[in-house]
Amino acid sequence: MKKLICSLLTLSLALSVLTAAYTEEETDIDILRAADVNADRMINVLDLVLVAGFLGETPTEDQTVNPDVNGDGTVNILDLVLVASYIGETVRPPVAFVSVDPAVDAEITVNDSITLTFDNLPEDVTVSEGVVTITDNTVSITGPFAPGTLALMITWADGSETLNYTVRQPADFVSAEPEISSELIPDDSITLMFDHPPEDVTVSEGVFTISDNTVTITGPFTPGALALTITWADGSETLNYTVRQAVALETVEPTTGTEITVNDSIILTFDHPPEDVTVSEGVGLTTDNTVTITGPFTPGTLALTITWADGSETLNYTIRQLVAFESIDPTVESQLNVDDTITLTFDNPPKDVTVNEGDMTITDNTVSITGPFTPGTLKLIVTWADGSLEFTYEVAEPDTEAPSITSGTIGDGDEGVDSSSTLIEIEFSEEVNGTIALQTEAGDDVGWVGEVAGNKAKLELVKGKELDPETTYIIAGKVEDTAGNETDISITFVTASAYDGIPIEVTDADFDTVVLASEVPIVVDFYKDG
Amino acid sequence: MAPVVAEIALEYKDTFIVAKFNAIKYPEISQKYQVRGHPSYLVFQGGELVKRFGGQTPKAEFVQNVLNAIDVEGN
Repeated sequence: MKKLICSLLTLSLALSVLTAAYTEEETDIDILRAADVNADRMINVLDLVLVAGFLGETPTEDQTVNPDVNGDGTVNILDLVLVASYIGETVRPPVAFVSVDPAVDAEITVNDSITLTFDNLPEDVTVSEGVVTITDNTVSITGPFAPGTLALMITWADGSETLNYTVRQPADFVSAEPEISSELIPDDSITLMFDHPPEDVTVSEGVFTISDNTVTITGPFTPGALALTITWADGSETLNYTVRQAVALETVEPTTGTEITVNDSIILTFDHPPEDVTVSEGVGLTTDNTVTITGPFTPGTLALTITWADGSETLNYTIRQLVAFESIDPTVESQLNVDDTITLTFDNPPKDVTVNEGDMTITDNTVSITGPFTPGTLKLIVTWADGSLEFTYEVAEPDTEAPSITSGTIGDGDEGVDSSSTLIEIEFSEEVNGTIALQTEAGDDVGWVGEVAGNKAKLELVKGKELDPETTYIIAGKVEDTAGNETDISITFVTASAYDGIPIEVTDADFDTVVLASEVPIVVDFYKDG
Repeated sequence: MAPVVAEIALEYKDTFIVAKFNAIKYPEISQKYQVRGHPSYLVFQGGELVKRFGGQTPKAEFVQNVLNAIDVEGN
């Protein structure tokens, strides 16, 4: 054995001289690894022994070592020379690719870095795109990469690898609407604009939707201070807002669809004080939670739109003219009969009229109120849609008493009435209307002129229609008072006998009727018979 | 009746009436009006006795007595 080793050392020395030219050249790591036949990272005499042990043989694939150092298919002196030429060299191990971050097939941005990790420091690293930085076992490849599909090939001394990525533009935040620091309501939406479509978006509050470069974040947001953080693949942004309660309309008085007058007010009540209130007609006044909209409104149909910071509402009304009282007949404080009619006149047809007494009818601008009214003081209250008034009257007790004859120039049953009479007058207990006539006992009209006026009736002689003496006449007629109470007139009288200047004979039987009842002065001659 | 009375009656028929009353035949009325002599003339107006006079009175005096006693319309 000693002899063999000595021979190999001698041979090695000789071959070293022969192969000096090899060692001066840059050594290929692959040649070194081939010369390190026993793969102990050292090229020494042991490698020479292995080669020498296989001289003249053709190596097979199942051999644990490969003594065919130059790979020409035969183990020969050339292989010995090659090993000898590197005696004393150490052989570094091959550098293998371990991992890459981001993983292949991932999406990266143009300026992202791709980090490859090797099991040792790689040498002779080149990349098909990007800029390489090597630190120990790590190779960082930094963009910009061209957007689109990236097949990044990295080559190092011991191998190469092709890494596939999708390269996209990074998304930068551009703006937010509403502007940052402004005021929101819980159900508002916040729209964020990016210069490119953002990826992997998350938000700290609300629900988001993405459309191209736009992210829309919708509430409800919690009232108070809102620090909304949006995070996306390329960054994050915190947007500060103040979230206030949304103001909602609760009630409207009068309700929409009703009829109002030109000067009416419409009151809207909100659940919170509304802001930025505008109205399409009238004047709006906001007090706490209430908005009062006052006319004048234009008569006709009104579509009143109220807009506030959080919404709008259109209210529909019919606007009519305000109706004002103009006059009343009879005048107030006067006396009425229970069945009289009181008439009120307005400047326009009144609506929703009510009265506290009597029966009411409405015709255009006129309201008629008819009794029966209660006797005594009447306080008549008339109420209509636009006002109310009270009128006072004195209602007389109902007149149920018929007029009566209180006096007259002739009374019923009178006898000895002067046949030369030219005027007959009758007086009644009250003012009357009616007719009166002088009739014969048979009921024929004598032809005198009858007249009823005030509380009197009179009959006047028409020339040629004089009364006959000793004749029965009837004053006939009918009168009624203002209450309609009627009285029939029937006065029967007899005219006196005619006196022609011949003294008349009187007896004790007719002394009273002839003498005492005479309307004409009478001289009685008390004579002594015989 | 004295002719003068009949004459006066006719002459003043539009002013007053002249009536004759048999005082003997109807004494109660005479007594009522205290007629004691004849002829007696009692003037009535409006149911009231307004004048009495008697005897053979001249026409003018007769008429004057009556007219002075009665209330003639227009006088």
